[in-house]
Amino acid sequence: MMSSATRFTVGHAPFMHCGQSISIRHLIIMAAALPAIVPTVLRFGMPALAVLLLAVGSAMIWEVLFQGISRKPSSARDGGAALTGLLIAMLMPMAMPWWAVVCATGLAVALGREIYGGTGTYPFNPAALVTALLLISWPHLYDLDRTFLNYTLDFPAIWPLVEVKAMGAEAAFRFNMGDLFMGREIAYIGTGCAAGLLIGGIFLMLTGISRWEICLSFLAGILLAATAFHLMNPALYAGPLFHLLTGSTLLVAFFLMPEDAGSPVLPLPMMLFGLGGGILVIIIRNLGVYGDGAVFAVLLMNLLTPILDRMRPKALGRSSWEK
Amino acid sequence: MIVNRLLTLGSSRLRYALLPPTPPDLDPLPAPRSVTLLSDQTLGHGIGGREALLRLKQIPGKEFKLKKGDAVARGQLLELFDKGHAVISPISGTVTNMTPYVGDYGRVYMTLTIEAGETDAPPQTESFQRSDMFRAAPALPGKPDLPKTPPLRVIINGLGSDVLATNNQYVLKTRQKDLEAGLEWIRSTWPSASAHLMVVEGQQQEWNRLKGCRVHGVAPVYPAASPRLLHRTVTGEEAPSEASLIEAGTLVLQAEALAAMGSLYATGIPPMQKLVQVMGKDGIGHLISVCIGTPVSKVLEHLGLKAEYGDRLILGGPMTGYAVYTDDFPVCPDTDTLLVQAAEKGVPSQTPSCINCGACNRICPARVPVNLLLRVLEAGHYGEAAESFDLMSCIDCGLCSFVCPGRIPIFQYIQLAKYEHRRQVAEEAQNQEVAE
Ligand code: SF4
Ligand code: SF4
Repeated sequence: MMSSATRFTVGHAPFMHCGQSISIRHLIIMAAALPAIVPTVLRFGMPALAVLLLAVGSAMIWEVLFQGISRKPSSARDGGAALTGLLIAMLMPMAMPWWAVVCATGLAVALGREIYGGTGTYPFNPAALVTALLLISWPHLYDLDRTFLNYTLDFPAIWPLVEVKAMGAEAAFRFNMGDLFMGREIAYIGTGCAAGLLIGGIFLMLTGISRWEICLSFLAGILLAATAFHLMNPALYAGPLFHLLTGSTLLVAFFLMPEDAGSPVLPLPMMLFGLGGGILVIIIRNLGVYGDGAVFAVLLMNLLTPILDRMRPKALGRSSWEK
Repeated sequence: MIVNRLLTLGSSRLRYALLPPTPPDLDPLPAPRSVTLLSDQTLGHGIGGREALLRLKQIPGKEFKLKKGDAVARGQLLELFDKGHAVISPISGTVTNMTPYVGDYGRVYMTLTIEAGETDAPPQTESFQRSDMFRAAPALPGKPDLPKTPPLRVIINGLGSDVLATNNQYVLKTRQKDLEAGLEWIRSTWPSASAHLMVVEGQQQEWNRLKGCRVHGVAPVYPAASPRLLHRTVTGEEAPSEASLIEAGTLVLQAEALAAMGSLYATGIPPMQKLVQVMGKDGIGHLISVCIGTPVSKVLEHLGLKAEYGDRLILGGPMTGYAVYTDDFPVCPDTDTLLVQAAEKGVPSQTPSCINCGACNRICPARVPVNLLLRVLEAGHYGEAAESFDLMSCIDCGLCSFVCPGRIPIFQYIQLAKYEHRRQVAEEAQNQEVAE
């Protein structure tokens, strides 16, 4: 018995797969970032495009380099570094010098990703981590007002968040919400066009790649905290809608907060994670020294993920979590 | 089973295959000249496959109740040991071969090959007694696993055991008499047990004619027909994951199993035809009726399906089944599905690190924190996995592996961990006994 000549391949169940893969996910996320990037590139041209391409390209080269050193198989190159590079560039002003871009992606790939073991293993979002590092080390590079000295624009060439920080909430009225929504504002490369970010974000939520619980609760956190501040002192603190549309709020909400490795995955922890992140952003903006401290909020919430992950429902037929 | 996704765009919902309203005509395979039966010789959880195999090998042939060259009659119960696992011979003939066979996760079988022929074995005359049902059951189509203690409720699965299987639906449509006889046996054997028939949602009305049976509708979304989920649908409660379903008072039977029991009860002759959903590489399904013990190669030959070197032969469904290395492998009492998968269609496993996307957590019908569980399983900490990460709550649906974008063989990790954990627990219990 069992001796026929033809040998078949064996394997373990299940023998089907839904078709999703890590590199497809990364590609989808990068595609979802396009609606936010394209208007900026069209408006400002080469400088913006150069930073984007340099960041993505250098991140990929760094990845090859570091994975070569740690002798990883080529299957480990799943587009994760390219995505990190893209997100870093989206958080940069377009006047960023080339060496700073290359440094940033190198740090992100080495310290942010590979040192922990690559995609999925890092506790902190690498793009947020590196942006925070650069913000602390070279704050002048992130000064947006400087960037736009050479442009003549038909909208206020002032950095909204900083303006409001310096001049009080009244300054917010100098900005037209419609302008802010359509990206007619001074901003980092990928954070200006709220409409584009919204399109990409909604797409990501619908495909289930960005977990909607995190995105929406983050936005809810922003709105709640900003409203509270605004009600406390309307003269000093701008309203919720202003905070929603300026700075990197939407980019963080849809691309950084729900990033897989550093965020929880169960419903209640995801809600708390998002809500906490949103509130922190407003606290940092209103009380901290940085105009836009969203990346710090992301890092702080990443830190809480392991604790949040413990709040989970009882599994099927379990009478208690731990016997 | 995907929950809490904003919309189901791009979701990976799996549905059970449904039978068309007019069931197809079956063309039964002619009884084969030679059958192979697998007699389960797996020992308890504490004893691994190695020991079970050694036990089989060390007993010289003469100590089995059955040996090579014995004549057997159609319908005869064959046992290697008293109180062992029984198989039923589907043909009359001679036992020509007995070889041990090792399956997955410590399962060990003795294969019995029977060649048809004129024999002087006495035909099976005495009809089956009620108590014989318990011995014969595991060898009947649908493999009913009858408990020694009376269950509180019997749940009859009218959907599939895996996504492609339609055998139960077919039985419901065509074998009402057998089903009623089966229910009759249940009622007379366990008078206090209630019977529940689970059918595809929206078809409850059709089944009200089945007497003494409460009918429940189930949305045909995989894995709603998994035993523990059926238990929850019927009782509204979840059975404790540490104990078996039987201990919670529930016996789940495939509809095909109930019909087989009914047929045996009514006629005294054990039915040996198994309904198998066969799908070749062309993706076209065939529902056929095959004698248990028929080699897979004969089934494929009959249907004109090809299977070549490097392909996969999958018995028991694409989500939970197993792949065998040879087409001599026989159709077993629980082979609901037979699948030929082309080499290039397979899902090669990879082992990147988990990216913590949470797809597995969201799809898990048992609310197992799969992403966290995977981390302890990769480290081999099975005890911790069972205690703190709900390993034993898993209902073996395989969906976590199905959705994992990293194609991590999560399901395999889980199966291995369950096996090892049960073994550890049993070994510790044995050591305890020795110490006392
Ligand atoms: S196989 Fe187990 S852990 Fe995986 S999804 Fe199914 S029930 Fe959950
Ligand atoms: S689906 Fe795979 S990659 Fe995603 S969290 Fe689960 S194990 Fe990790």
